[in-house]
Amino acid sequence: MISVSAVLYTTSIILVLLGLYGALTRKNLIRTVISLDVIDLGVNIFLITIGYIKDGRAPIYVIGSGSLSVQAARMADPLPQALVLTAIVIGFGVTAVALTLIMRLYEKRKTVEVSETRGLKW
Amino acid sequence: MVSPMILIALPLATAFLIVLIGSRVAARWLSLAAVALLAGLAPFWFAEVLRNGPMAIVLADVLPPLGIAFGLDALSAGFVLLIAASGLLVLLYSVPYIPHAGQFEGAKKAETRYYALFLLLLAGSFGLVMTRDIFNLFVFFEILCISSYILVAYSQEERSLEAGIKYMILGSIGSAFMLVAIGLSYRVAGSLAMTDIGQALATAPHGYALLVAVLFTLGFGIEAAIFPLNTWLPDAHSSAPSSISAVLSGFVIEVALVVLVRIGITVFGTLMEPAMGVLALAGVVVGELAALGQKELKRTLAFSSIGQVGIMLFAFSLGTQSGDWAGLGQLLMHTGAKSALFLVSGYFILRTGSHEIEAYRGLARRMPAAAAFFSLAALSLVGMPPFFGFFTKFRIIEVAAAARSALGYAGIVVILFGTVIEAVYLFRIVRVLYGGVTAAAAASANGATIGGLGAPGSIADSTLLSVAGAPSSVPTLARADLPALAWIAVAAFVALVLVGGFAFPWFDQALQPVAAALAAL
Repeated sequence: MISVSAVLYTTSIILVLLGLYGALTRKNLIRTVISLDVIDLGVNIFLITIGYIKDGRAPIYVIGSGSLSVQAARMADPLPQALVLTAIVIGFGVTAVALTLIMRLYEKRKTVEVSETRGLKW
Repeated sequence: MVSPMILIALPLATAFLIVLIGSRVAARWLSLAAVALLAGLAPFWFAEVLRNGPMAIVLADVLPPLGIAFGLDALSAGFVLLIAASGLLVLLYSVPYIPHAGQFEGAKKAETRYYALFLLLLAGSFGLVMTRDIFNLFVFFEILCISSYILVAYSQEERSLEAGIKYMILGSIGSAFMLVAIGLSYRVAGSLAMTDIGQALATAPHGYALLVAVLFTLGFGIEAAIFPLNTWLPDAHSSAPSSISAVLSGFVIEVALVVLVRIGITVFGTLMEPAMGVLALAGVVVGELAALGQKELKRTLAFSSIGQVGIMLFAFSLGTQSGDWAGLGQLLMHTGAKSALFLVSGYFILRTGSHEIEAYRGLARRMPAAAAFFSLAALSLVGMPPFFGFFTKFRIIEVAAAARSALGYAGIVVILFGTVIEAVYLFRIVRVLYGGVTAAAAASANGATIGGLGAPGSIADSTLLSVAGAPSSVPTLARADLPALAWIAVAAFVALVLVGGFAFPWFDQALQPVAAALAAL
């Protein structure tokens, strides 16, 4: 029986690698940005999985259903979730800025392809 | 004494206020006032930390581990002082400079945003040196990075947009790595406080700790421009407005470097030091050699920053307190010298309209003060006595020799080799500045002014002129001048490298507790 977290860890690693491959090989800048988002997605799944426990519940203390320590043992770790929330917001900001810059570049050059640009080869 | 949290709160609040008001004049004065206040307070915090030891900052009365951990020790306080002071000087330069830097539609409106982003960049840098929590580190790092991506692309020319995008793609990949490293650290430590993570990783399996260390180095190394993660830097630092180049080369890469070293030492012990040393030396060689081949002034300076970061990292990687001490000296010198060099190159570009070094031939006759400032800063960067750079480089070599390791001796050879190359390319620029005008250059200048008369005639003409040393053979300067305000900034940075040289023992004393704080972590 494969555990859920093993599946999630594997998925996240595959996503990060896929995104990295895309970010480094795509010539179209929009696709590069999408690849960066795929990396972010993989990282976020990875972070969430860290706080995952089997049959876990939301970390809310319910009066009358056992002592705090009993309940806490079954709660999913809320901290990685908070981190992911922050990371999503930051990722959104970065994507917005990236698309704006690409839009400005498109206005100058009428293309979003890297190969036609002088300085963007690496 | 005001809580150091004002270092983050004030720039953030002012930045958003500026955008809300939306007036250029208000933006200038508000940001100047805010940063001047912080720069005025910074020495007091530094003195207080030296007197009473590290200062813990408690937010909203919630103590760690639940609260948000901030702290001010000698290292953070020293950096706060450096960032606030250079931020203020560069702002002084920006006020007259920025209207010339962006010649695009809506530039006047964008100018308010320049100040807002500049303040965000400062807030991010302050946060980065003060935080004791690894996730806040990430957040401040992103604030710093995103504002610098936008500032690099500020002029909205093709090359700066390209540079901004390239910087952003690499930066985003770096922060993804960092986030994974943070996740892995949290997984093993169950806490985000740096000290907890350090303890947890010390007992974790070796491979696990190494993985985290490598991911962190990838994340921060991109921002700190450690070889081989520095491919974005030459483009970004040379295409940004010169005021931003001065900030990015002056303290942003240094802050990233020191945070990396700090995490490296706090969290990963001696695991990474030899590898860092090797990367640092590779960076010196690659950066300096690449700088030698550049035709553009700002690109040369940007590649030189890669070499200089290598020298600093090498000193830090020796892992001794005296190594940290020497590295911090080099860092302070580099901030002064490189900021001055970039600010003066911004002036050269403004007046001649060209990025190429060749276009500046004979410029010293038209702008003696600017050329003198440039030469003094260049001499210090190379490490000529009696400038600051001589003492700091000498100290690094001394420490490397005392280490008695193969890496130490290799470092001496590489740094001396780098110094020779630095001397070659920086003196070449100085020679161009003070040199006579060649026939070809004068011909093009004359051809431009006369309006392209018969080519053979104008060459003969200008050869005569340049032999006679007539002032008319110097490139014509049609563009705008910068008022005295901007020169205060340049002069202050140059003063740092001069005073640093003549009062080196005093600077050395001041840096000692800072180095102790770095080594004690």
